[in-house]
This record gives sequence, structure tokens and C-alpha cells, in this order.
Amino acid sequence: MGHSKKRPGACDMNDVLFLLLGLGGIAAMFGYAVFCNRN
Amino acid sequence: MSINGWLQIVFYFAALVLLTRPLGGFLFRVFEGERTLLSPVLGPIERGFYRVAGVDAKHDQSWISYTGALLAFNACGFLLLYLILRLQNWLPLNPQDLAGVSPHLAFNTAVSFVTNTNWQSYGGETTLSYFSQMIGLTTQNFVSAATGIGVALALTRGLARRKASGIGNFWVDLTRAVLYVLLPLAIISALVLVALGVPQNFSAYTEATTLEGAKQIIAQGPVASQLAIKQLGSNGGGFFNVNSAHPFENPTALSNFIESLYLILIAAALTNVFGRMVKDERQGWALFGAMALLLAAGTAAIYAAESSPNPAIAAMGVEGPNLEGKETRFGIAQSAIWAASTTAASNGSVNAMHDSLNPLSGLVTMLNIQLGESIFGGVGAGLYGMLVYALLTVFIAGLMVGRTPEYLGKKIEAREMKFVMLAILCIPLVLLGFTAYASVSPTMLGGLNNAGPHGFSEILYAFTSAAGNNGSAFAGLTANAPLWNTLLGITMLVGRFAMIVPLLAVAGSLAAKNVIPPSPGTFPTNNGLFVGLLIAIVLIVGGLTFFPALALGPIVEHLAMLAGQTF
Repeated sequence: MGHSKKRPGACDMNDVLFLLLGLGGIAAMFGYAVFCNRN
Repeated sequence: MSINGWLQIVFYFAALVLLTRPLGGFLFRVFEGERTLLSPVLGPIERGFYRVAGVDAKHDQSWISYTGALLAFNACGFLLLYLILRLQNWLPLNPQDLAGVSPHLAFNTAVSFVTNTNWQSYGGETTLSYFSQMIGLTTQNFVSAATGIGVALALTRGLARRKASGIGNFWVDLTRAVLYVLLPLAIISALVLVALGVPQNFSAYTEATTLEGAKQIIAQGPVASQLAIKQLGSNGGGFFNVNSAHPFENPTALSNFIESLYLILIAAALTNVFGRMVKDERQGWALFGAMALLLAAGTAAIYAAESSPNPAIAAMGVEGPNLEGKETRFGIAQSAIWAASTTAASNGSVNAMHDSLNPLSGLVTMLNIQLGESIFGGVGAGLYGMLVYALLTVFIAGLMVGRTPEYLGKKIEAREMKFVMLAILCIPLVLLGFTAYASVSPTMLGGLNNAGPHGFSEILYAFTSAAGNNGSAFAGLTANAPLWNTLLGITMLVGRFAMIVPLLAVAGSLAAKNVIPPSPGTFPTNNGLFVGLLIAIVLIVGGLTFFPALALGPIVEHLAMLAGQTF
């Protein structure tokens, strides 16, 4: 269930998008913290 | 219902009450940096970590520094786990030669474990290597729980300190929580579970021939080590797909009792830590009392609802309680305790399938999560979740009597209330927003296996579980699809960090304030009146926010069931 059929976990554009979403999401929370600090 | 069943429930709560204070005392000494039994062994290791990492343990961080450290640590955890899952086919400890996890599933799983949710879109034994389970997931089980503890401690320090600029040191809280609390408890618990029959090995799966001649693959692996921390750390992600209903994860009645106690244990003890830190243990018992009463009500409601059969099943001449989806080894009472505790405690492990619960029991499990995971909640998360409601309670009580609201001598003003409201609103925003979208999106509805109100409940439960960082599932939903995995991942991120950030801001704001001496107008927060008011605020806020959605799901389903229609 759920695993990729591609044998070598080849990097594709989806990796870039999901890494950006995860890391960007957490980074955005720091921006939110800075916003809270100023208000 | 039976006397035996009620006695099991009473025994469970008695054990919880008895263990709260001793464990709370130990945790308090650990987090205050006092000497404990473990200090001679773990002290040098702790100081070694600080030396290597360049951490000054005596340095207090401002709330923004604390938040920055917490977010940076969690971002690194996400990145590392994502890479492990994607590259597991190139990594060791993969005797089943499992392929790398797909990008959307890796995103969902990495977010899920970093946020202490442990929502599992994957099937453990068929998708993840031993390396992914042990190094990837189990590590996050420890550090995500420690992160929650850190936030709870920081908020408590905000209330306890006077005119302070700092709220503690994230690296110190993280290290102490893992080293002195989670690791020792998990090691002892894993050994106990091994003694009770839980496997702990690196063997390839056993292929057996059944008496009928069929081939059966018997999955195994390092189960006990993951199981211990998944319960203690309010994680919930099981080694096997069916979680603690699997006989290898939960072999006996004793293992079931111990595991269900682990669900709440640390969260309960943290209320005592809170009381000790604010120098009035009764403040901690007040929070414990509110949590315990809500949990007891939920447990009793589920036990009562599950003791009655589904009328459609009863009409076929089947007698007895609702046993569908339950482990008959444990029965109704143990399933009710577990279902209530795992949803209240933000754990998410299951020993019975929630999709098979009667509609009103399903409602209780959802409501437990929707109340902000404040009924004991996740490790740390439950304490800061209930403190949010406590601040709201004193604010409303203050408005009612026309005095400036204060909690533990700290004035609660507009700035703190803005942050509290941001924290309270973030969960319904993503939960209800994405539920509404999923209910009309043809792509997402494609993953649904049930129609009508039960299908809606499955969608609502999924986003409730993700937003509350719970991780349990109603099942009946094929959520391992790109859009489901992505939206649930975003929901988990918001449910975790959009709550933590404003609460750390509250901690910083409160820490900087002086303490006002109690006056005749001070509303006491360590008595029964406060407990009653706190429970009312929790239920009113939760009820007002989620009642319409619950009416469309489990309430309609219950009424339809009484009329003889099932979904």
C-alpha cells in the first residue's frame, strides 16, 4: 500500500514541491512569530 | 453494561490519579535541573550534549528565540525524515526490500511525525523499512513529544516568573525531556512489553502455512521499542497497520491496560508539574480535575453507547453489545477506555476500529479531539491546550464581574487574549475549511467508501484528527492519494505550529509582567467553581464551533440509525 513502484527513489519535481511546502510552511510560522512579536 | 466493565473504568482512573503526583514530582525535579536518581548516569551525558552543541544551559531565551529554535529543529526533523522515507530502498535494515515512499506520502508522513500527529496514510509493515520505522519515525516520536513538553513548560514559566525576559531554553527542555523522561520510561516500558509477548527483532517476515494450506506472511520487527514511545509520547503511530488491535502490539489484557495508561500518564503528570512550578499544586489539580471529568464523561458515554447493539444488527437476531471492529480479547469497556483516552490524549493509537463505533461514540471521539486536545491532550500539548481555555475562562469571568482578568496573579489583557484567540481559531479554520472542500471535491470524494452522513463523518474525522495532531482514523477512507496527503499534511502543520507560536507569544508577554497580590476581587482558580466554569467554557467553545458539523455527521447518522437506516 502506498509505496512508489520506481525502484531507485529518483528525485523529481514533486520532491522539490513537497520539500518547499514542508520547509516553507515551517519557515512561514517563524514569519508569523515575528509578526506576533511586533504587534 | 456490566459491573465488571464499570470497575475496569474506575480502576483505570484510580491508577491515573495515583500515578500523577509521584511522576509529576520526578518531572518537576528534572525540568528544574534538580538532582534525581538518574543524574549520576545521565548528568554527564546531558552536559556533554550541551558542550558539543555549544549550548549554554543557563541561558534563558526570549520567546522569539525559543520559537526560532523550536521551528528550526522541527524543520530539520522534517527534512531528515522526508529524505529517509524517500531513500529507504538505498538505506540499511530493509530485509523486505521495500521501495522508496512516494513524494506525497513522504510529505504527509514526515509532517505527521514531526507534528506528533502520527496520521498513517501508509501501512506500516507493507511500506516502511525497519530503518525508516526506527531511525526515522521513532526518533520523531521522542523529539516531537519533547517539543510539546517544551512549549508547555515555557507557557508555565510565563505564568510563574515575574518581570522576566526569558521563558527557558528550548535546547535544555528538549534534551532533558528526551534524556531523563522519555528514554528511560520507553526503555523500561519496551522491556515490560517484550516480557508480555511483543516482538523485538530484525528478522525478515515469517512465511507460514496455515492449517487450510494457505500461505500467510507474519510480519514482525522492532515492535516493542516503537510501541512504548508511541504510547508514552502521545504519538500513536503503530508498527502494524491495525495498530494496537494487532496481537503483536497488544498481546494480553495486561498489555492493554498498561498501554492505555501510557496514553495519559505523562500528560496527567504534567498538570502536577504545572502546579509545582506555580507553587500551588492545587492549581495543577484543578486542571487535572477538569480534564479527568471530561475524560470520564467521554468514556462513560462511549461505554454506554457501545453496550447497545446497532438496531439493524439487533433486528437480525444478534444479541449483545456492538462488537463490530473490536478486539474480542479486550471487550467493550477496554475499547471504550482506549477510544476515549486516545482521542482525548492526542495519541491516535487504537485497539478497536473507530469506523465501527456507534454514531454517538464516534461523536465523542471527534469531540474529544475538537475540544483542542485539551483533555490531557498530547504530551505537553494537552497542558498548553487547557491553559488556553483557562486564560479564556478567567477573561470571561473577569468580564462577568467587571474586574481586570488575572490568572495566577498575572493580568490578562488584550494582547494575551488576541494570541489566545489566534490559537483557538487556527484549528477550526483548517479543520472545517478543508472538510467543506473535501465534501464537494470530486477528486477527494473518490477516496470515500461510505455515503451519507457516515461518509461525511469519515471526512470530518480525518481533518479533525489532523488538525488536533491526533492521528487516529475513522477508516473507510482511502487517504493515500496526492490531494488527501497534501491537504492533511498542511492541516497538521497548521494545527501544530499555528497554535504553538501564539502561545509562546503569550508566554513571553506574561513572563514580562509582575505578579499582583491576591485581593478580595481575585477569582480563585484552584477550586471547584473554577473547574466547573473551565469545563463549561471548553464545551461551549467546542460546541459552538463544531456542533453544526457534528449535526451533519454522527447526529444525523444516529437519528437515521434509530429509524432503521444505516450507511
